[in-house]
Amino acid sequence: MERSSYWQNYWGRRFGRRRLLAGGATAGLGAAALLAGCGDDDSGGDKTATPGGSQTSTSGSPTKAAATPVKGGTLQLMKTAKDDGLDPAGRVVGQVWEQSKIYSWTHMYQPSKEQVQLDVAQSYETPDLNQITFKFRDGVNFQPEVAGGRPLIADDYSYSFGRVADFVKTKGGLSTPVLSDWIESITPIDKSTAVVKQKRPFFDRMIALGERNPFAIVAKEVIEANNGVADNVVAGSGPYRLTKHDDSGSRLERWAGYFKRDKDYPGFPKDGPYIDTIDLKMLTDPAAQLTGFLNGQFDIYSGVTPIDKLNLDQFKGAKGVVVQQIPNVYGRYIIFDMLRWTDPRAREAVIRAIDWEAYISTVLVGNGRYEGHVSGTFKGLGLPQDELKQIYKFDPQKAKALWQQAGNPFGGKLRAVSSASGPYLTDTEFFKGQLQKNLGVTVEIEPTTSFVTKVVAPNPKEWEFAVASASSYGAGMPETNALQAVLPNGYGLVWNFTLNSPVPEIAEAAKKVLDLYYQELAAPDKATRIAKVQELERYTLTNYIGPVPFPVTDTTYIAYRDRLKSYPYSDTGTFYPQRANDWWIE
Amino acid sequence: MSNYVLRRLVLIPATLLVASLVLFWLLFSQPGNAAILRVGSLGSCDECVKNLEQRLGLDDPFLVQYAHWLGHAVQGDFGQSLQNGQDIRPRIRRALLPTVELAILTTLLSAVIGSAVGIISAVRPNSVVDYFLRFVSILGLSIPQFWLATLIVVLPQVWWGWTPLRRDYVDVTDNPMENLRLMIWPALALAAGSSAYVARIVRSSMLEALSSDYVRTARAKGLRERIVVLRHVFRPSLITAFTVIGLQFGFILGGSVIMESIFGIPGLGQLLLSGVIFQDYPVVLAVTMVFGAGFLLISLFVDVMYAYLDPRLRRQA
Repeated sequence: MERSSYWQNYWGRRFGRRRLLAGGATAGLGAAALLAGCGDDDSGGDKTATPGGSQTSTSGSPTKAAATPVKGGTLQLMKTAKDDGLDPAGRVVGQVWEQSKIYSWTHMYQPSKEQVQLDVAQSYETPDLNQITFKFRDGVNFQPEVAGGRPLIADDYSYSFGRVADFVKTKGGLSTPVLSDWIESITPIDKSTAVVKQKRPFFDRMIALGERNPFAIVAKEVIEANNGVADNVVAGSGPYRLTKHDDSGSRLERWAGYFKRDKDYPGFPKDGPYIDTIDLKMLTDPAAQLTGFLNGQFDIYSGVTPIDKLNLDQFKGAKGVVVQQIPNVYGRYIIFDMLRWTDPRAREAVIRAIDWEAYISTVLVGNGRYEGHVSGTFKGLGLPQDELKQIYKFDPQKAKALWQQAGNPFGGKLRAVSSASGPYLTDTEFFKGQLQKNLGVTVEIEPTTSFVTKVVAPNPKEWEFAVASASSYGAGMPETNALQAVLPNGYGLVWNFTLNSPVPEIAEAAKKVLDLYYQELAAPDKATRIAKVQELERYTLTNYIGPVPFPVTDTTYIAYRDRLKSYPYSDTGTFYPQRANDWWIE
Repeated sequence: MSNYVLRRLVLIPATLLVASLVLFWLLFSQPGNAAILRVGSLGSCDECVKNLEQRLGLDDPFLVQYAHWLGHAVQGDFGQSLQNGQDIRPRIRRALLPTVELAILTTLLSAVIGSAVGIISAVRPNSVVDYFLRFVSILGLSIPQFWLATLIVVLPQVWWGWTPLRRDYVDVTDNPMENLRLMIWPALALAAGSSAYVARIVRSSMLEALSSDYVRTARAKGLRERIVVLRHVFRPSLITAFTVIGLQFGFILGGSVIMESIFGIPGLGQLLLSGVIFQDYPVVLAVTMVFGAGFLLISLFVDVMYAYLDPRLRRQA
């Protein structure tokens, strides 16, 4: 019988219901037998952990950069949130790695060393407090797919900045105005020179210009060919090409045509970058993220919640894992809606009714420090701990008296909103207990999974206070993180702390804060800056203007695999680590 | 029968229309929107929010927005993501395969495990084995699937330094075996509940069949007990089980949302979750419509097959 006729005969047989049922039963039993023997012997080459729990921990011994970096290898990372697009003009959620590697900047700022590290800028000059001149390197080209791989010129820098304001207004972007609203213009003088003219002096101007958003340099042709948005295309000249970007993650591959620096710069060696490929796997579940890291599938544990003392045990005995103590990079706030909490006595009453020492010793297991609007991570810039302790001094009698003087606001019934994830619910429960006991109010907590839609967006607010977090070290400058929470031209607006508040006292306070803010920005030297920043912080804290920061863990921990070398852990929480080109894999 | 099928086919678009209207209204009624999520958290630019709302059509009245969406959706155009401007259709096409694969694998596992447990339970009713299997079935129904999935991911790592998580998602078309190694675990977690349900259905329908006259006749003929159970009891019981398994397919699709998130599978569930987080209503609507259409088609298929497999129903129809 010929093969074709056999199959014709086979398919030609009547496929009745009895045959279907019999077939179903047989297939079911057969599949059961097959599945019973179907184990996972994991013979693939990606298994790195040793079974049997006989692993040796290298915890506490950070890796040192060896003398000779090795080229090659694949850096395995987890992507913990889907991104909202790749355009550096305003997309800031979930794509820090991709943006960092496919774009170039004039320079980077390394917070731990307080150093400017030059990228595509060859040099810069600051002739006065209102102008910066950048000289661009020769030989920097866009990637081959971008504008035909043409050279990057000063005009590109000007164009990239010029589109930011319009992008944020019309296309939706989260790039904060604080980073760029001090700039009058960026003008190209010739192909390799651009001048940044300022509206006003800005002490942290070099830090701001080195930020991920919005100062990455894009190619005009690509943007214009894509309706003004580079969300799904690459328009950069960075060291890595994006070869995959979908719902399962991203892949970045080293671009051989990336320009060679004339010499080694800290973080940017002449022969870097060293790593060939960076794989980012989308993994949103926190338990899966931790398990994947402990199993050796990922090189850096970048869970949503920073590792603190309480969960350090998870890393004990994990083979090849380095756990490193770093300064805490997260701040936390009690948020008051300034349209409703207009009496400063009521706000003070809440803060003084909470026993912060008890909070530090219990919730923060003794590892805590007081925190102001300028984070303690900016050493010497904010108010000293002793002064903060006085401002936050627990005084239940005074608190109760202040609350009564303010007229028992909200009828003594407070609704608190807290993020349902992370430590915030624990914080809120602690505050609830303290306020009920020391103020005689009732507090009802509503956990939410959508902080923006529940807490940020609605106006008027349908809660009395909220508990939230903010990165306090993310940008290397206080104005874009911890301090911004209370600025009337920053997040302060969200909490109705505005210049045009219908409550005259609040409008006046907002004006005062903004004046102090501009004064500290315009400081000509560090000593003046510190004095002005402290004056600003003293005003916001002693008036208990919300959001009011509360104590945070003093230190936290990061974890990474020991095969990863030159990992700049000291700047974790900033943009610098992703941008640096001196990482390598052993 | 063909009239019945035709009626059902006509009802599918009508059902989807009502479902889309309700869903659209629910999404519309939520506080905030994608524009606020993109720029509103800065709070510094009311004008930015308004501009973006205008550009995305979010400032139109409800019915205008819905009509606009529907006009495109009926042509298979689900529009673009509000989150990143990507076309939704290709994303759904890419995400469909992992989800359907997970659902099929789970259904197969449920059918096999559920049937096996149901048979054993039914042939030894009220024995220790039966009690044990019924206890396990109730356990399977009671345990939340997301919790079981987390245990499947975490515990092997704690005990043996191994985890079923994979570094990369491998498509079934690229490497079926590697894909199976990843997919089998979420499928098992999902199957725990549905197989328990199947087991209970198979057990009860088999017990009913075991006491029927034709089974007594089969035994009287001198047939071996194995033949009696498999051919005369289990096979007709499969008709009921088939209905349950088919309907479970729809619930399994829903359960895939959390499983895909835990195991890092780039399916429809992950797409839906990200759409919900970003209030990306075109994505949420598109994925929900795909889930809905899938569920309705499966229900129709089950009903048709039910009639096909049971001649009594065919005659009634």
